[in-house]
Amino acid sequence: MTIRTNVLSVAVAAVAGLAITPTTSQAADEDAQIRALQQQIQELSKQVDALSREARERKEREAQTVAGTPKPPAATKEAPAESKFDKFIKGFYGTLDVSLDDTTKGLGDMTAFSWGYANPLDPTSGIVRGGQKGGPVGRTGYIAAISSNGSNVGYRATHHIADTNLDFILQVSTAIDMAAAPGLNNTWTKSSNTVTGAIGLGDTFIGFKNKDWGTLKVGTMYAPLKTATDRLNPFVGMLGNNSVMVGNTGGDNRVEFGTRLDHSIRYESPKFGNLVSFDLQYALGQNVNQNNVTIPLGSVDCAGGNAPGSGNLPLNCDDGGFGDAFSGALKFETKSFYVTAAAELHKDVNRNSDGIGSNSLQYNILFLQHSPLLDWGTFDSIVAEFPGYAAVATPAYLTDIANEKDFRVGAQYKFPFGLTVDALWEEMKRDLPAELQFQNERQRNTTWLAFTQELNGGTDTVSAGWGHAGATVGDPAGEHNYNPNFDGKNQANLYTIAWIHKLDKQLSWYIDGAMTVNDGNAHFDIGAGGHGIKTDCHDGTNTVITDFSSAGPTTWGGCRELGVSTGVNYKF
Amino acid sequence: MLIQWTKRLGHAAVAIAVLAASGCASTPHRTPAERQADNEIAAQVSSALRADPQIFARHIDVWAERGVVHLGGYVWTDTDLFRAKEIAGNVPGVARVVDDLQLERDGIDNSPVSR
Repeated sequence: MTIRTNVLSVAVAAVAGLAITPTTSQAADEDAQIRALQQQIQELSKQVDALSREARERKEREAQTVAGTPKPPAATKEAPAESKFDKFIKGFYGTLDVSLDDTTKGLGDMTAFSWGYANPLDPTSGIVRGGQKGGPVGRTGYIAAISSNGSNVGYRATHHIADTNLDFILQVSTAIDMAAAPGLNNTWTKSSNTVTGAIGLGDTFIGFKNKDWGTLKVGTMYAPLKTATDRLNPFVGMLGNNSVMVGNTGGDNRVEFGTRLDHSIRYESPKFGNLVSFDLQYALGQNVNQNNVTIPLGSVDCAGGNAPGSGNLPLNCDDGGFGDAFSGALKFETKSFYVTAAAELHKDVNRNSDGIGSNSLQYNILFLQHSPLLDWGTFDSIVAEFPGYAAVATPAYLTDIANEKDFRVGAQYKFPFGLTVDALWEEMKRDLPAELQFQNERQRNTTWLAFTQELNGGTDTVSAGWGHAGATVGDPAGEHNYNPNFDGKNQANLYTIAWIHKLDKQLSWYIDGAMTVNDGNAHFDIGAGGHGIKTDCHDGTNTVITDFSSAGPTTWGGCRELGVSTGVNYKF
Repeated sequence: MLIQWTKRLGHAAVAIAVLAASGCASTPHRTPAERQADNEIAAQVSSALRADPQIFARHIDVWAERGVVHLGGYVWTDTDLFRAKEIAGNVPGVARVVDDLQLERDGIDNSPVSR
């Protein structure tokens, strides 16, 4: 307003200045021009008066508005406008988290035996115990470790598209390792082509946002199944966070559901009525094979994680590679209450490798009968080239490819006295034909309950959690000490406690402890889904077989992992 | 049961989308005075968030429309989700708080052992 008034004043002055410098040759025309200019001056003066009046009235209205509302505190005056540089710097964010752990796998005193049917081809003939197999290999007691947990650096920005109601949004992110050099993962337990420390290992996307219609993103992102239920997990990045069981179909270190989905499209609705919102995400399978046995186009790892051959398997994506994936979540939220229902579908998940090294007695029948359910072609060709393979492996399945689903309902309530209660129930399902159900360990339920109490005005929080993994339909019997007498005994309980002390807004110190109590044939861990160093039921077996694979790591069902961890977490 | 629930979830999402489409009638533009008042309320909320001794509010975006304060961006913990709403709601002049905050969850999501 002030600028416009000044401009008009200058214009008036200029016009007035011109008006008092007439020429002498055209008196009549000059009179006419002067009159015209005077009229213009009068019009401009009217406009200046109108603008001044409008400004005066606006100030009066504002004064009345302020008088009718409580006076804001002195500290809440309008902040100075954010400079472009400040806005740019603000786009950087991240978390640095390093902990010192001391954990044990709890498998030191275990023994393993061979088992079989009295009549190997007759499941009704009774189970007989054979000879004793080897015990756990390697260090089975407490192992100290320094772990980098969920550390990352990223950049986010919003760019308003001129003359529209749309914002262009972007995010690039990278996970970083604070405790070791970044690089490919090629240990004897895992092979992955993913490089930690590289841009893109994290939620990375571009998209468009409109306050009325929501947000559309394209890139690699956590699925709604995770983002809608993650707030129910107060132990993110710590030992014993709920990903040990939630979304973890097989009970190993790898979380199957609720991970990031590569090459996906995501829609996030606005919050309707300030109560309800929903998210939908679709990940294109991008696989040239119907059974998803190869790496998807554009990816460096199998869908679901890991490079072909990881875990001492043949060079295939047959340990959980999937095609298209769909994920969605419906959320309802009030001031203190949150409830969500979420689901995710993975199409045509290839788990043919679950047959390799199986200790199942029913699998043995398929083996002895040279069943067409097993991949004899591949097995025989490998044995022809590497005869030693027959001594350490068995054929993969040929048709163990099926859709997998995860459905969750969860709720969170915060009491006025600082107690937050989280509850989650999960059902996972794998649509296998009847003849393969005996080895279906991907179908079970999970229960999760957690309590968090704020202390000292929020400076400290104390959390306790309990998770229960229900029994699965079947068991591929990949555990070295698999005991058929314990069929169905593959439930597990997870117990976690944690104390977080905020040193300031950005820096906190935490200590937590976790224990997983596995039934005889269960092998859940205490580190899956975010904690850098995993503690699981694998021993140190690492017997290399030249030119093909190594016999390890051996899984010990019934292990009881226990660990404590203390670390610092800095966010910026 | 899983399939049934999944279908119900899908139906609910579609129903909400339809309601949203029908309910998103354009609202009249705010007057300059309203805009100014909203800017001041948003600034007050931002200041209150920054002044809180517990919450790290650097990445919380605040804007207001006719006294309704919208919180966007992200925080790191669920306790901060609750706290941000509470702080914003306690600022004088705030008619309502619409919360679009998200949890920051980057970093490695998976695990180094496959089976």
